[in-house]
Amino acid sequence: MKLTIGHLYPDLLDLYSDRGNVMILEKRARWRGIEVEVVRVDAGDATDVRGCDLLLMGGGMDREQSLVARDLQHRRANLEQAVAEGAVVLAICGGYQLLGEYFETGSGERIPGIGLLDAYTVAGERRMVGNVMAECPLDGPTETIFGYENHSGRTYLRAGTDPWMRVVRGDGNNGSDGTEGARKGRVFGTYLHGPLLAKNPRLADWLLGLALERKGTGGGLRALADRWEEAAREHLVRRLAELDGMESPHVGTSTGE
Amino acid sequence: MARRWQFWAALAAGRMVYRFLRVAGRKATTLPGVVAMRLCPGFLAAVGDRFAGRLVLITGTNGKTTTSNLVGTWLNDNGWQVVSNRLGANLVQGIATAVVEQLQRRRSYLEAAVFEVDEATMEKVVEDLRPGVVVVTNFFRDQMDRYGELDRVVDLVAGALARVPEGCVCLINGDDPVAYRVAPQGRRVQFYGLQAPEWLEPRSREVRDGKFCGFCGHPLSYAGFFYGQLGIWRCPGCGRERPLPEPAARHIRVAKGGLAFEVDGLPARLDSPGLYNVYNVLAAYGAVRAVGLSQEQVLGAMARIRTGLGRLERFRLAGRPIVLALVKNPTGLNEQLKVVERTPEVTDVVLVLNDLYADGTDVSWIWDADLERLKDKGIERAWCAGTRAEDMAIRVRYAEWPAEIRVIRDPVACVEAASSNPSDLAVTRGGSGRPKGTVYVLTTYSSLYTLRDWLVRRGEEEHDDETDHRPSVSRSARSVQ
Repeated sequence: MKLTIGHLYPDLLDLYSDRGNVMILEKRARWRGIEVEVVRVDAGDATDVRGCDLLLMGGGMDREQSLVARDLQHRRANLEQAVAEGAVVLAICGGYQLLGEYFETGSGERIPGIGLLDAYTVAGERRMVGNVMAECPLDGPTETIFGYENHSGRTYLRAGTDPWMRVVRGDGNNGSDGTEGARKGRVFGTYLHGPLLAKNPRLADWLLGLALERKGTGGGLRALADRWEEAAREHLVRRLAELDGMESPHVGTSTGE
Repeated sequence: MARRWQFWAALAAGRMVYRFLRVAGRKATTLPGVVAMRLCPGFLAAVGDRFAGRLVLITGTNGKTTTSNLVGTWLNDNGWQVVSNRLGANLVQGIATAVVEQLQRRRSYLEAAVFEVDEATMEKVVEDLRPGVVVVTNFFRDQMDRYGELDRVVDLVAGALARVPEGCVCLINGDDPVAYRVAPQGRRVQFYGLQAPEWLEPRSREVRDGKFCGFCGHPLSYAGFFYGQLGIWRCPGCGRERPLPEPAARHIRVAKGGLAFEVDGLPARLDSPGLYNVYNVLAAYGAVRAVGLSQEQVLGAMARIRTGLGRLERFRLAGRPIVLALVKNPTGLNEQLKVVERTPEVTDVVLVLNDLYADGTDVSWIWDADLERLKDKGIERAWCAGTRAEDMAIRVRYAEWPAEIRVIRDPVACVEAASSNPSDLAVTRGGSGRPKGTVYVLTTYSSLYTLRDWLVRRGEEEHDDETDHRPSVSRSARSVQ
């Protein structure tokens, strides 16, 4: 059995360590004896993503984002087909915004997305930055998800697309409605970095399972020894409580070199 | 200086605050400056008047502290009276505090101010301080929780450089296409860089910034990389290319665990093997020459350069070599991992990851670093410490080092355990008194000085004549010119 992971725009959307998600999914599959191929999808190339079981996309700086926004328009039909055939899509931050209908900049200009999610994003003044804890349903019990957000865009969902998670700590989609991320069928978007899958191994395996479903081997992934992940989750709950109790940093703090 | 009395009164008040805080056992790196600036709104402008261009500002992502310490030391060595923010307090208040603490009432014929300046702070001080020399070291992704995207930081610095006085010498790292972007029009710009084809990597395996031309947006092409996005770059779109460096470092080679090279025909020798430090030396050399030192005046110092506290500093603990280095962003960590890779017999690596404000509250950057580089290095134990030790343990797990991962939260306890742990190397050598494996300690900022202080107390700093156990580069291709 072979799992094919498509990494969308690894050079353009590489801002925030989200490539870690690709590494994590790749290794978690390999450690279970599943063969993995990672396919790069770069701007301007003619890669057919229908062969991919999983499609991953990170975020980039403004310049890179607009290059990607243009390139994505040419891939729209191909991506829609891949999703219709059962591919799982995970897009983070800037990538998430581009999966929606549009991104409206501060000057009112609308950069079109590809509408895989019924969502739109509007530039905001305040940057939403910090550690996030959120509750995410994984076909059963709710899983606590740990991540880090850093965005000024506010994303709002429309009918047809559900929020993926609910924030317990942090701002999430827009800092006002308590939602975080979006889900429509097998397409997922979220603001959470960390990378997302590093401290959320059950979410990683759940996505792997979903991607493997069409091969007829969805469930039944062998458990891995996620000792450090569990320790990290346990520690982070305490750490975040500690951070919340701390005063905001005083002005003079400097990092030196 | 219209109201000199106001300046000196503010300085005196700031100094009282400084003394008071010191007596109370506090660090006093910001408050005295805050007080002085509150009492004299033109405080920084008065500092600019006093130094009248003999003032060096050093900014950029990596290398600020090392470069400004070299500049300060070389000026000092030659009898200059220097005011500088040596402890790296590089925001406005930190700069003002350094003045409060160090400025002598009596003017000296040879005096200068050397400040490292936070990238976002440059625009706030440049017009008041009116520097005679500005250094821009490099730009890498760093602490995005604080500044947002790199492009924004670069724009801020470019805006500041556009406002330096006429006649100010701008020393810019020309090997970095991102730093190249901030060179101001109509000013004296010198691009420093490496003339070292033997150090070029044809391909980069690292996460890179600045892939696109800052002028026309076209993807850049490279004849080779030194590290990160630093290298021999060219823009096929607008034809801009990496400028011929001045000053340039040539004939870079590995020597006694450090690096030997030439700058302007002067022999230079560094005590540590990180290539990035050659850039710091070039920047410092360019700066002191611009301030007024002659070649002869730096000749002696260049032959024996030490890169400073906690920057690949070597210690010895129970007979075991310990190396301490600061890491704070992916490029910095990559460079340290390369040093570890080139060092023979490293058995233990201690990784300290903190998430305090000074470290950056977002720790995801460790996933942008190429830890996979050490996969085949034979590291036996990876020790993880700090407020986010487990995050580091997860990163090492996915890097698949064949090492045992251990987590000890407290950095000092962790280093102590790592260095007292009997290394297999000693056993296989029959415990014949040969050195046991080296312990590399890579830490984020907030634990650096705690660890250093502890190592200074507990260990012995290695001396210059002890070269056997130093890291050395085994890649022979790099030892020739």
